Amino acid sequence: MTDPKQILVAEDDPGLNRLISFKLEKEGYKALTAYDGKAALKTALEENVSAVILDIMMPFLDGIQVLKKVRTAKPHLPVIVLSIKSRETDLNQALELGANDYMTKPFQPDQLIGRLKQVLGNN
Amino acid sequence: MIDPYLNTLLNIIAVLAAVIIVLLASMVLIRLFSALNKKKYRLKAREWEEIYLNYLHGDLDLEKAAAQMGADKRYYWLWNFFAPYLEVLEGSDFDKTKALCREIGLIDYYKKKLRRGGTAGKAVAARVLGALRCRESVAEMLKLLQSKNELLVQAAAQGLAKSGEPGPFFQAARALLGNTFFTYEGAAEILADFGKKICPHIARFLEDETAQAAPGENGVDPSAYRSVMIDLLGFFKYREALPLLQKMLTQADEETTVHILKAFINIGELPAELDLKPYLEHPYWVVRNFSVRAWKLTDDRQYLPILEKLLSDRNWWVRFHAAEALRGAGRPGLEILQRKTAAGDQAAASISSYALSRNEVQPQL
Repeated sequence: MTDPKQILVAEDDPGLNRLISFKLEKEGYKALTAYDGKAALKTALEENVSAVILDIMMPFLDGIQVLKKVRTAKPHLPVIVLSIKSRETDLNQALELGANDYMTKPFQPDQLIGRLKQVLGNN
Repeated sequence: MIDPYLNTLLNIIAVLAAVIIVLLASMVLIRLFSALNKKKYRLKAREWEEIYLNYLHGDLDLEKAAAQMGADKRYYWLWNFFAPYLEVLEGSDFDKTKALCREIGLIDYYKKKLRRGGTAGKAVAARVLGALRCRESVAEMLKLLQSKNELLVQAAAQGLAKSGEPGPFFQAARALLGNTFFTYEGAAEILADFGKKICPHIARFLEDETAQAAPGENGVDPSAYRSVMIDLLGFFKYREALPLLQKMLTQADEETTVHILKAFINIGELPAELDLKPYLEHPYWVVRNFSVRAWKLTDDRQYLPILEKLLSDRNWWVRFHAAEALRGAGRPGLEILQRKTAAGDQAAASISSYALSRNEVQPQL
């Protein structure tokens, strides 16, 4: 039996982070959690993660900075960006930096899992 | 024998010391109680989280989840628990969360609060029922908009904005601008929660000249009211309103002109055939300032001589944005800046040098 794919959930809202992680685990993934940008970057670079779900607004280091550094070190790692609707410029920047997909809050977690499966499949 | 004056003084000191000790003890007790309460809430929330996540996933049915979470009827805690989820969830998970809140009795509890609670209770209830999109409470929230209490007006407007009903939008806008001390930026921020679906209604309102005179009720300044509406069109990037805004621009007062130009910038597009010249040469510096920023959207070279003149504008911000616009205009813009650094006009030379120094950091050529 193969090990489950590890997905990093980088989201500073603890409730939402646990909700996404819970749904991922029910789908057979292993969720690694990070509640700020620094922890997210460390986990993304040091752990064997198959994809990252990355919130843009996080303490210490925002999602854009995390994405820039992750793209340099792991250019092919799938990243799905989460953001609030009013931060459209951030989303555009994230897509220019190579985010594979994005979702704006509020959103349906099941759709997020669907998008994740898609980017993992494409990869 | 103790001097009676000294005796009185000692008594006063003793009373003061006792009061201070009682106050300090009360503060310590309040802090302890609050910390204990927070700890209890965290433990409860952890317990509820497991039930809630299993319910969302379908491992636990509605009745069982509601019975377990609502057993001790701690509605305020329950609201604190659900509020962050309601902010970020959409679709079936939102509907399931709402159904759970209803089954627990949270919605009925806050409906009663909205009707018969005190000021704070009504304010919380309006926000809760709005976040839960309880359309059946809209009529009650509309009544609160007429309140003399600013807190209630604000809470009712927030509740209505989140409720998903576009109908009360204009009433909420009038109440916020007429019955509270909100600036129009603050009011626009709350009204933005009505969502982009409100834009066609705003466009119709702006098209109707008679309606534009109407917001005088509640003592609302029509110009401020119109400005909020235009700001929202910009915020939602409602490009369908570009022809309308262009039409309005021809007869707009200074304030409205500023907001229309700002909306163009937020939408990221200028109407075709818009002549920027009158705005770049407008007597009011804020209009000149925003029109320079709007010019960046077109990059139309015919305006370069006007931008060059604006490097000598009497307002620093206009000079700064003109220099920035030229810096971003490629070789012709940079040539103007270089020429100006050697010009006799000190203000133009200074801002041009500054823009060119920024260009060395972020080369444009």
